[in-house]
Amino acid sequence: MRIYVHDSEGKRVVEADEAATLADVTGADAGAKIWAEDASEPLAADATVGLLADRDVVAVHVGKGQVTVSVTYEGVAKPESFGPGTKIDKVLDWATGRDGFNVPEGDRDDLVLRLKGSTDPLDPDTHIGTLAGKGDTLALDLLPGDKFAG
Amino acid sequence: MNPDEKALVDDLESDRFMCGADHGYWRLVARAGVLVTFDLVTFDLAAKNGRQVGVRLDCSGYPGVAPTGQLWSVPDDAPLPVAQWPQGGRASAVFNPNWSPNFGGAFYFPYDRRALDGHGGWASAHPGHVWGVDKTVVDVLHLLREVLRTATTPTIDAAGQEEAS
Repeated sequence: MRIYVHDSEGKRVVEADEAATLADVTGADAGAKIWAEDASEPLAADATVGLLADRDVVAVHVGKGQVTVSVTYEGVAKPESFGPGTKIDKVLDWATGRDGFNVPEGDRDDLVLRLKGSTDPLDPDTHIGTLAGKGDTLALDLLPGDKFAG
Repeated sequence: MNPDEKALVDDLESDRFMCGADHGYWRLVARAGVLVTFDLVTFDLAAKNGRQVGVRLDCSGYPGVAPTGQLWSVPDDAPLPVAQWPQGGRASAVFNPNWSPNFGGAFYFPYDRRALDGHGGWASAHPGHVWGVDKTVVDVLHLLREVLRTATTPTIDAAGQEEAS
């Protein structure tokens, strides 16, 4: 089974049997926790690959704890905590949705997330724990996507 | 295999490309040399449905030169008729029916070499989208999905049923 292993530095792909423990597969250091992608709580220390076998994508994040994300939109910042394996497109759903800035539905699809002060695009499957690096906070801007004219 | 084709194949086999494919963002339909066809899928959480559009990229000179692309009918294996192009939001500018047909259906954005001609100002206006050797076909696909997400026609219900995670 193909497993995407994300951490504070990036991601890699490993192959493993369902019976293997995620700790062995990921080579997680003692003290590190393993989070399923988009999960808010870590997996049990002895969790096996098979626990995630019913998912379309088997992806985990090796990290320390939750990441507090602060998203700024039209000058207003809102914080929220997520598991480090949360994808950037899930944060976008939160930021534009009812629990975030409650952007009108017709306007939501035009908005993108960028690292605060940056214009570089972010892959929607990037884990916020990777963007936060060794830290536990992440600052993002919610802004309209680039319009190419001229 | 020519260097541009080799570089393209390497990127199509990269973890980053595979991760996007496994998440259902796109599907590699076919590749013939440096011509490569994809199905792109976006997912609308509210509608619980997706919009699926074919694209073909010509990656001659890749990655030193940006690809050029066009919307593609996968069932017909032919360019998508203009009347069926996604429109609305940023899609109307990128899939520009008044400009693109004169340039082989090229996408009006900085990751298309035909659009880059005469648009030197884009590099300073859009520094996050400057084509260089650090960019790959994955960046093109992500930008196309970002644009496609803003389209309002064709309606999502009519366009596809496949879900992306």
